[in-house]
Amino acid sequence: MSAAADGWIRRFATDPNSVLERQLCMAGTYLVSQLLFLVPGVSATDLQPVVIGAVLMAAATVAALLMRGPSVPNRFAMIIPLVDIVSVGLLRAGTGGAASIFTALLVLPIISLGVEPGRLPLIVGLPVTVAVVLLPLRYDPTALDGADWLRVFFTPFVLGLTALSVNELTRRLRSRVRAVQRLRRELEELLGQVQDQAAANAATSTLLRETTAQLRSIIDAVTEQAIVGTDPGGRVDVFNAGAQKMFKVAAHDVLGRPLLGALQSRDDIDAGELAAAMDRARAGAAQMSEWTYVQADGSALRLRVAISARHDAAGDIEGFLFVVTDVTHDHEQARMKDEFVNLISHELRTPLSSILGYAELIVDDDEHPLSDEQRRFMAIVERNAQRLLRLVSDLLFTAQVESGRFTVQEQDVDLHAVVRASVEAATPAAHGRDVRLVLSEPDRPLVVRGDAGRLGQAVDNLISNAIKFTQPQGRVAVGLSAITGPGNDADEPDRAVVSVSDTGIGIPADELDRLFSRFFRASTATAHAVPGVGLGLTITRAIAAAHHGQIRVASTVGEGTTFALDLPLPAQQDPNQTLAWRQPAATASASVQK
Amino acid sequence: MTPGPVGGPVRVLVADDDPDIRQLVELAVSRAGLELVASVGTGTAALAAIREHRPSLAVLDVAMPGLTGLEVCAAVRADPAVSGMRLLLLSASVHGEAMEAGGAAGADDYLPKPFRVKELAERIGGAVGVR
Repeated sequence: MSAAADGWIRRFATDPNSVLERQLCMAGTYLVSQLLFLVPGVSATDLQPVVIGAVLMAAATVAALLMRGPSVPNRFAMIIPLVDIVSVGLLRAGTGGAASIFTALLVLPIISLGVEPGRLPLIVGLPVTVAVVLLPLRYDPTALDGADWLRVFFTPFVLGLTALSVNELTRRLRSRVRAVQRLRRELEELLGQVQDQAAANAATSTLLRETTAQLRSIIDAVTEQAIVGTDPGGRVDVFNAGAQKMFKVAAHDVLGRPLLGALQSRDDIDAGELAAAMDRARAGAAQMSEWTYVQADGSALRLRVAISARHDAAGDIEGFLFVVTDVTHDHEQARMKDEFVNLISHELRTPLSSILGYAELIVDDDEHPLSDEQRRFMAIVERNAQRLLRLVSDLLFTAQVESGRFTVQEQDVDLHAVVRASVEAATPAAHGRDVRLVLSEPDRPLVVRGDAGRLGQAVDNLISNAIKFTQPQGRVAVGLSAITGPGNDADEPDRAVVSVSDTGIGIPADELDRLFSRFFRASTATAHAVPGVGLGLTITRAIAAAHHGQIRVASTVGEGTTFALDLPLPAQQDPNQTLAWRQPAATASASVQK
Repeated sequence: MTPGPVGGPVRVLVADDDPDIRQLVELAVSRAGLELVASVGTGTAALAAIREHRPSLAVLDVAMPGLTGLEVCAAVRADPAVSGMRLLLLSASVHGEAMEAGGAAGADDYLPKPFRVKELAERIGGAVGVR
């Protein structure tokens, strides 16, 4: 829009409707009309109304000037044309009345009056006009003789119609002006909104660019992990710097291509496996797996891959994210650690084999029987060799658990047999410490799936700990029971519990959380110089976990400790089943005590 | 000397790189009443002695210099001249996979170290059908 057009619209739309402009026009015309007095035949018949009229015209012009002030209400503006009508009426009356040449001047204030807003100026103007038309009678009683009286009605009627027409036209014009003003305001508001929106869009675009750049810099700053994004169909759309470094492939060679096809060399992962992993990720669970990737130079990388689905704002899957970590070094370290542990184990077990073997030969030598003292000394040698052997075995077992190589060969395991064997094996130690060892077991058979040797090791650990931590004259109670979970039939227990309770020195409550940590020893154990290295409970918990069970502990310092090994029972067991191991004389409570 | 299944004495070979353990095994062979034909310290020597003496049973340590006990087992099973003999492995490894590897290599029995001499003697006797 040009500046000129804009100015015109502003002027038009603001509709100043200045009474001063109209009055100046009126006064100018009035003054010019006074030149008619110079025309021969045109003269004042009565000078007084002419002068009064001129004064009124001047007064109206001054009033119009004063009305420019903002404090003057607009409705007072109609006074000016009314005064003009009276002024022209007086001029007319003093220059011949109905025959006056100045009668035509009445049109101007009438139009000015019609311009005033509303109908009130017209209503007020009609009697004023009638009075002005009748005004010549005051100076010449014969002025309306004959048919001239019709002027009293006709002239105001015509002038009134003129004013009404002007008023109506002006009203319509004003309404259009208001409409234009409204449209202009709306246009300005819209323009403002558009400008605001444009500014907001620019800010959003800037923010988006910054965020994208920041995200890109973060992703590319990850140089030790590969971050690969694909669309839902598996075509690569993100390939960060770490991926380029790890796979030795440039991003532009990969983007837009199917993931597996894009990686030039690979192993042990095929399209079917990848699709299955993506399907599982699509279902909501992040997938962890390990791939072997063979590089172009033939070296193999062991990669740990986390696959998760990417979702858009609507929650629909827009692709997949692969975060790949090179664990080749970790695997190599784990392998070296395994080798080291195996080597140490082998090198420790071999001399122990000699010690125990030759000790056995000395003790069992019938040709050269030992004295009682020598037998006692040899027993000490053997006991300590066995202790060292257990420590080596525990270290090796712990290393196996840590490396994830501990597996359980599942078979039916009779828990009664396991618990009885452990109690029997621990009885000499209990005797040695003057601790009463008690076993209670239910009549019903309790068979779990698992490794009898490992379960025996777990129960051995619990009982041997209990005996070690119990003072002479104390008591260790070993219990076997079946429990039923909430909502299950009481006749169909779903878990078996091996509990070992002692009246020992107890464990402080704030140490219970760490009790199963490797090499952790309770403060009460060290304070009482109880031997051990802190591996037994770590191993026991690992065995429980490998059997889908758990181990719980409750303890009070000075009163004792209870450990409970909780193991799941297979779905259905026959409570009337009689197992071969059961002794005919077995009772609900058996005890082995000093 | 205890006779073998075919009437002659049961001949046993012992191989272990640790001389103390080797001597223990020799004692166990003796206590089982069997004839010790050779006692060697390497897998290579064990395989050579087996081919030379053709014993009924070889008691082999798994971790030996030269050929391992597992490799000796595999070589014996692959050699028709001696493939029918009995093989007993001894190992300080307690991994389940070590036992599985022994079985896969063709061993008839496996005994982890440390062992009781009495138990080894029983295993040796059991391996050749002599109790």
